Parts: sequence; structure tokens; C-alpha cells
Amino acid sequence: MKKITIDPVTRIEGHAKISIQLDDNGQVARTQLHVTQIRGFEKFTEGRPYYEMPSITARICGICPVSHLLASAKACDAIMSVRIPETAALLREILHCGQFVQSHALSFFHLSSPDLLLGMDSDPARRNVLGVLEKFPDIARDGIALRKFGQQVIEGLAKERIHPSWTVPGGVNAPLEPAVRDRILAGLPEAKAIVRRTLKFFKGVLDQFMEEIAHFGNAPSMYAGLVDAAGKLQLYDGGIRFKDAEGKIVADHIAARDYRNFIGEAALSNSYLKAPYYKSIGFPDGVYRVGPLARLNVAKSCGTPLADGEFTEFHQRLGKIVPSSFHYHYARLIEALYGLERMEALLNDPAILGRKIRAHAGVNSLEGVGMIEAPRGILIHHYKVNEEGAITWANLIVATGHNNLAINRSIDQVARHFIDGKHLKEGMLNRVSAIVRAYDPCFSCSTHASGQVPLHIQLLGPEGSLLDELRSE
Amino acid sequence: MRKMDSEECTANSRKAAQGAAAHSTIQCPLPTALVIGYGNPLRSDDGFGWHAGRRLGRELAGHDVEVITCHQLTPELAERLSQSQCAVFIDADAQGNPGDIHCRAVRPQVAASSTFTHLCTPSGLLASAERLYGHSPQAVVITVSAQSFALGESLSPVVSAALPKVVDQVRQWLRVASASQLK
Repeated sequence: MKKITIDPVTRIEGHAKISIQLDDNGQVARTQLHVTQIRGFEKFTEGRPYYEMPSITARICGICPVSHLLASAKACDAIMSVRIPETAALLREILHCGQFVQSHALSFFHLSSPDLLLGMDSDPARRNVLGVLEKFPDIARDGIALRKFGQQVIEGLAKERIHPSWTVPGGVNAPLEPAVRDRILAGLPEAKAIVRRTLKFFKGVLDQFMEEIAHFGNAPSMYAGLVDAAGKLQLYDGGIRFKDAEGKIVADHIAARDYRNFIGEAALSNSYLKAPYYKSIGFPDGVYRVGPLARLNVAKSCGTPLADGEFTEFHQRLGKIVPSSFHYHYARLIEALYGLERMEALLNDPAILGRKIRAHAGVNSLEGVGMIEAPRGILIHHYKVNEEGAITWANLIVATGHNNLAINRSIDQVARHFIDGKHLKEGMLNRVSAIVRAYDPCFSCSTHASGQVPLHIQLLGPEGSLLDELRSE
Repeated sequence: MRKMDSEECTANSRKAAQGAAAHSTIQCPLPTALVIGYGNPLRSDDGFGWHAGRRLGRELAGHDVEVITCHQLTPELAERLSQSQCAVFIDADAQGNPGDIHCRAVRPQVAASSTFTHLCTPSGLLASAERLYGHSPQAVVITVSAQSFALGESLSPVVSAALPKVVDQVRQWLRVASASQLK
């Protein structure tokens, strides 16, 4: 028996390692993703006033703080039992679109394009964003410009690119100024042009990755994403739709407050990342995927013209249900286009410059759930408070957590296909990392559970044989 | 926090100090300049770049100087650098005696091989600016040796004492850079 460890997995957000156990013939026997950090926000926010939660939980992540801000603010809206003003809802959604654009740009251009442009087997020392920058300056410039545009949208609305405090329980704390709206609108044509030429480029190179497409998490699973009443893609609002591997809707329009009827949470050994599963199937078979690929698999359409054109081509080309996780990249680009188009529609809404932007109230409910689509998938913030509004319990289900079981299965599939333990090459291991990157996981976002992680200590002999073990479930 | 390996620019600073007015007000126009203060402001002295950046932002208001504070250097900064005539990177240093100030000129240099995308260096960023946008500014890195990287938002007394000196040094260097740009 031989064990290969990929530590750390690079070009992801947060920290993780992968262990691959080989048998005596050098074939893959077992794999596991280990998320090696714990953040603990669920526990240490207990006792804090509920209205501090958006600012506190935004600190979970430097990449998608806006997602946590919005999910948290929505949970607080529920505790206050308010319906926020129309203008505030529109503004929050624009902020969210800016977040999608910058986050998707980061994932595609900065983190995954080195694999796609330089090759899975290229020199690992140059297979990074700096290598892309050297060899493909036009694409690097596009990536930088697109991410910058998304960040400028966030900064224009919320005054800060990272950890803005503009989103508050009940709405937002400042209206949109016409000059900011005009500035964002002026930048949209170029941003859309960048995404469209990137899509054209990416579709042109897909054929070079047929083996990866066939083995990168290309296995049946369920899919989950938010849709509106008509079944169209929703990022800020809507209910959860679950589809099975064949594309049949198995649950639809699940409201935030009802998520626990459908989603269970399990813990895995040797990892701080909890593993949600579809409850009626149970653990561990209730695997579902979330995020860009899942969203395009569950939605009927995007709802904006250019993105819908791409959505149609995506499904015509790859099928009604697209199973390969390699296509997260493709779906991510389509969503970036949707985010830009949606932003444009919202900025042109007559109500967008309204001055009524915040509802005020105290504690009117002792429990609140906020749910949105973060760039990586469904994000749920669930709080309970006492009469004074202090948090007594918090549960966070973060996008990467939903994908935990799917990522583990994908790693296993990739490892079994690509790894030959007797002739090990770096490119084989890079493919194992690349499937993790396809999901664009954010591990620093997703490890908050306290008291749920089972302790499992193994004492191994020099040959890897188990000598003793201690378990605390 | 980064450790730089470029040449010392102490001589430049000395010249600058000699040429500078005794008071700290900038007398001549500055070139289009970029100041980047970086580090973790929640890790005591590692936040030195933020403290210096904020102070410079206040003191240089009205001049053609942009001040950016950030946790780490990222590829996006290449574009901003390419639009500047001169640039100052301000960081904390884990080496040296606490409170020591070091100023080094830094030139574009393609980063050494790295598996880690998160690791951008000033010289690497300057190289990116040149490669992607056709220009990189004259630049220096000013570091202050830290005493503490413990959790906290305040600077240690010895590092705090270096703050006004660094602010002056930045201003003086910008004056020298300005003069050389005008030639």
C-alpha cells in the first residue's frame, strides 16, 4: 500500500489536501478530500446581536463577502419580519451581480485558466496566473479587466470592495447616485464583450479536453439551485429546485425556512467540511451538486437574451442535463454574462434611484433564514435569537459544503482514471487538483460546524497498517 | 508581509532628505504616483502598510497620488501600476531590529517559479505591468521591521514611532522621483 498526498491543493480559496491510497498494484484504492481548517463562525457568533451578523459573517470570506452579507441580511430581515423596500431589493441584487462577475472572473481567469491555456501537463512552476500573463497577455488583460469591473460595481454601490457594510438588516444604508449608475452602465458593453469573446475562445478549445470531460466528475447526481416562480435562474431570491440525474424535478420552490425538510447534514472523518445530502435519499447517497453547472441544469432558462442564447447552445451541445463537472467552467462564463445583463436591466429599472431603501423594526420573530445563490452555489444562513435579539444558535450551509460529497466522488473518479501509481507523473496529480478547482470551492467559507466533527485517530505502522485507533463520533 | 531583494536606495533617500524642505509640506508638483500599503491590519505590526497608507492618503490629498491599502499584492494591481510614473510599496518585514526602516529600489523582474498564485511580489507586479500594459513605474519598497504579528489592530510602540519617519521618507522619495520625471 502506498499513500499519495496532494498538500496543499493549490489555486483554490482556503486550505485542503487530498489523500490517495494505492493498492499493491499501484492502482487507486481510496481517495479523500480533507479540509484542514475550521473557522467556527456558527459557534462564536452566539451572544452577538443579530444586526451585527451581516458585518461579522462577511468576514468569513474575502472573495465572496457580499454573498454572506446578503444571506445574513435576509436572515435578519426575517427576524425583523420586514419586507424590504423595492429599491433596496434591486440594489442588493445589483451588488450581488457585481459579486458574481468578479468571483467568476477570478475562478476562470486566475485559478483555472492556467490548466486550460497552458495545459494540464505543463510545467507546474509556470502553471499559474503569472504563466498565463506571460504567454497569453490578451486573455490575462481580459481577466483583470472583468474582475476589476465587478469589483468596481461593488465599490460604487457599497463604497468598499471587500467587506462593505452597505447591506444592512432591512435594506441598504445609502441610495444609488445617478453618476454611479451611469458609470456602471458605461462599463457594461466592454465587460460583456470580454465574456463573449472568452466564451467563444473556451468553446473552441473544449475538444482538447475530451478525456477530462469524460472523467471529471462525470457521474450521475442530483442538482440543486434557486429558480423563480417561472423556473428561471435566480441568484438573489427564489426557491430551491432539486432535479435528479435524469432531469426530473423532485422538489420545487422550497422556501428558505423549509430547507431542513430537504437537506440533512453529515460529518465526514478527517475533514472539517460538513456534508449536506438530500434528506429523502439519505447519507451518503443523497449526493447533489450546486453552483453554476447545477443552476443551469435546474433552470428552464436564464431570462436575459445573450445568456439565454448561450444557455440554449450549452444544452443543445451537451444535453438536457450536463453531467460532467468539467463544464462548471463553461456554465460559469454563461452566468457571468447573465450577471452583466441582469445588472443592466436592474440599473435601468425606474425604481433604482429611489430614496426609500431601508425598513426599520426590532425582533418580531425568534428565528430567521436567509438564502441566496452565492457564486459557488446555494448559501443558507439560519439564526435563532432570544427576545433581546442576541444570537442563541446559528447554522451556515455554504455552497462548497453542498458540493462536498460530489467533490469527493469526482476526486475518486479522476484519480482512478488518470493515476497510475507505477508511473506517476505530476500531470496526473494536477488533474486531481483541477477537478477540485472546477467546483471553485471556498473552503475558508465553509467550515463552521462546532461539536459535529468526529474525532478519529489512527496509529499506522511503517507499512501503513492500522495498529490502533480511537473514535469519538 | 514580503521580503524584498532589490538594491538599497538609501543614497537616494539621503539625497532626497538633503533636498527636501525642513518642513514636511510638499512644495513641488508630484508625478502621477501610486502608494500601496499592504499587510494584515488585524495582525499588529503587519498592518504597518495600512497605517502608513491611511496617513499618506490624508496628507497627500489634493496631489496626484493614489493610495491603496490591501491585504496582499494581487495581479490586478499591475494595471494601476502601469498608469503611474512612480510607485511606493510599504510593508512590514519579519527580519531585522524592530522599528528599522529599509528602502530599496525595485525593478521589474518576472517572478521566480511559484506554485502559489497568492504570492505576488513588487518586482513581479512591475514585470506584469510592463508585459501587459507596456509600462512600469519607477518604484521603491519601504519596509519596517516588525516587533509583533500577534492579533491586534495597533502597532507596537517601536514600529509606531517609525510611522512619521516612513511617511516623510515616502514624501521625500516622491519629490525626488518627481524631479527626475520632469527632467
